[in-house]
Amino acid sequence: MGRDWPVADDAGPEASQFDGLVSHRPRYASALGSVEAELWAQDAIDPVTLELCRLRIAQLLSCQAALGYRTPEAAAAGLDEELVASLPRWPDDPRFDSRLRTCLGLAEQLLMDAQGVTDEQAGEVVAAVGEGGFLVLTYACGLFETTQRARLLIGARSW
Amino acid sequence: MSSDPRTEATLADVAPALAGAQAEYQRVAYPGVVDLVTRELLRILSGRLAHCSICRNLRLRAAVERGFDESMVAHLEDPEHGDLPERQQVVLRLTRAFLTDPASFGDADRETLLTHFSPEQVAELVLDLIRFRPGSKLTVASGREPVLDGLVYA
Repeated sequence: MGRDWPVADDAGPEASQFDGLVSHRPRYASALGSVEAELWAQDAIDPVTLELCRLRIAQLLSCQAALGYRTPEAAAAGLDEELVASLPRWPDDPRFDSRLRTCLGLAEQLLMDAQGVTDEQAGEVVAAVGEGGFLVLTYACGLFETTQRARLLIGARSW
Repeated sequence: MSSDPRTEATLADVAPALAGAQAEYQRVAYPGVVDLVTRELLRILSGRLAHCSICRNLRLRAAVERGFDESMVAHLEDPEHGDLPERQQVVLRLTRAFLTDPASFGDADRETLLTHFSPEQVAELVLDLIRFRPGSKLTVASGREPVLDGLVYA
């Protein structure tokens, strides 16, 4: 049995496994936290759409830590858990409107291959959520992916 | 792939506070506690795996001055067949696993990583891996990759 991933002494007793690791580089970790906070505070795209995309990415990556977490801003904005439960069926489930389908389609394509985003698909997203929504959602999906991959790397059981 | 920007706006235009936080995340990443050559190898492999021409072609002059050379890039994706030292090989295995199958980075790899890098350095490598790809995907998907696919020194 090898060593576990190291946990910083000053991470605090309530710190997650992830926070315990990255707290070894506190300024850098804090800057990531600020990016995440500003992502959920911006108004170019709503938090429920972001959360559904975050959870869809978690489903595709099988990131249980991410699937078991709800972002407070999304919950406060009325995230529908029935919609969350239906996420794997978003292409055919009528509860997902065309705007959500467009955004979820982008999230899946970005996870598979950003080069595969076509002019047509980008245009549809811009038409659905505006240029701001397209840019923020694209950056957000990349961040959702890598922060989930980090939890998978260290075997984190919770977010 | 697009050769033309798909939006007139940038992230800084539409979400300035987010873009500012992203810039700060970039700023505090350096100078850091891991040698710049090793971080450069991680960054270039991350860019390759994201198919981002800016990331895979950018070369930091500071890393070149500290010993980075193009022969190191030849075996980024199969580091065990090159001349890189074990500490850089394990960082490349970490990078590939992170971006393809994180769970494949097992106990033996983690033990090797922790043999060569302190906890502070490991934290920095993980935060680097989190940082690079979102910007790469934004560049690619928004159609802001350069037309010419050549090395760029910064």
